Amino acid sequence: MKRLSIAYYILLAVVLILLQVTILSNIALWGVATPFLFLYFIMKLPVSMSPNKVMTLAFIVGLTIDMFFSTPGVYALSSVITAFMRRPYITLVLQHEDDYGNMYPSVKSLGLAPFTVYALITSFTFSLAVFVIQSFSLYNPLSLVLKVITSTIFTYMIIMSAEYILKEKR
Amino acid sequence: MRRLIEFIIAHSSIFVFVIYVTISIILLLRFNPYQESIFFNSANSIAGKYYSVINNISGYVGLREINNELQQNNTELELQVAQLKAELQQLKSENNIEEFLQGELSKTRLFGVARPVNVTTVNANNYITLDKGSTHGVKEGMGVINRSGVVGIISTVSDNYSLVISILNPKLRLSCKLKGSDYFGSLTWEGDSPEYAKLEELPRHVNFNKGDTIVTSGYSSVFPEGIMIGVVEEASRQKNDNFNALKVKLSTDYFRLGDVCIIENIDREEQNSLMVK
Repeated sequence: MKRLSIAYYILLAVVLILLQVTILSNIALWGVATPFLFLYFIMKLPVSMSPNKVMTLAFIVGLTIDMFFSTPGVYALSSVITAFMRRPYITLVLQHEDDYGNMYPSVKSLGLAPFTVYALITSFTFSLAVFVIQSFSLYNPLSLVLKVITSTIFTYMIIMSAEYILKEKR
Repeated sequence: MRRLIEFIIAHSSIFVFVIYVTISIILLLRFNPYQESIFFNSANSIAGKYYSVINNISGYVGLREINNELQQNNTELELQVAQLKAELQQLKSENNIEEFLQGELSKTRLFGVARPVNVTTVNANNYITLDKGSTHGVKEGMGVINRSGVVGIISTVSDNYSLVISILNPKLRLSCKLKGSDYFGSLTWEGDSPEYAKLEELPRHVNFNKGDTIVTSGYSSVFPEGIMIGVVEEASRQKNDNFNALKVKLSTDYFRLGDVCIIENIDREEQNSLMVK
């Protein structure tokens, strides 16, 4: 299985963060559904990468986005929680872990259904974390549930789009 | 001891997780928009520069509409000036009111015009970043308005940028009143829609109609009396039955903010020093 280069990951992170802070976070369909495309970066890190490194990268990415939004801690904390859950999630969708030593998760390597599950639970984890953290200063249960569900679906859709766009280019 | 180290290595990911979570929570809890925490907000120079560039590009999109609106406003203002001039002339001849008026008006002055380089509307706490900072003389606590009404209050200032707490932020409470009456309440944002806010603590016996204008009360040291905030959309009883809570449609459109004006109250420090005593 082919590995992605470090340069590719750096480029991916920069592009995704800029897209996220410039366009995506201003979308908020119906005022509730926000697509968190930068999760795609955390999702695509190699399976064999140690959880510590994944969490460190997620923390840096989250903090960078926080810097743009004046929300110190919100995105950093949610990203770290998502990164922490990445290993259990991958184990959940992988059948034979031994075969996947060097690979990175994709539709091609995991199969469509497992990747869908992986993308959905990752999106859900992040959306739940980010909106629960934000709701500490503003509590509105109905809007919280609505935001988490719609953002999960929207994020999943945009991550799948990214997956297919980037696959065709290679 | 060796066992302890082995244990830590075996479960290192949990320790790393706890460390990052702790750092994040410290950041989360320590951040207070009134403190000078320049680095972690969008008034810092990297994010500010980036937003300036993006804003230069996206600023062109709404120009035509803004231009139209400005022209309309301009005409209205010209008419008003003409009318006011006539009235002033009349008053001048009646009383020696000129001196009094000048004293009253000069307490608040227009500090300058700034351009928002980043506006958020969908977060729980919304801020606006402006392209003027301490090198231009902007100070914390100055008011920000635009042609349609109140926008927010400046909370943090860096060298070239400043951060505004917008009305769409539950941390901001504005004292305002029904235009034409002296009853006042306080306006807060409820976090659901960027178009509406809530006016609380208005005494129950005050009469009002849908469409009535809400303006600043002048009881705060930031805004002078009578700056437009919005119109009454509907009323609802508050939990405490002695007060009304009004749903207010904000006159400022945060999705199309355009240039904003920073205003300064010359007597602010004097007013605030009284409060401290």
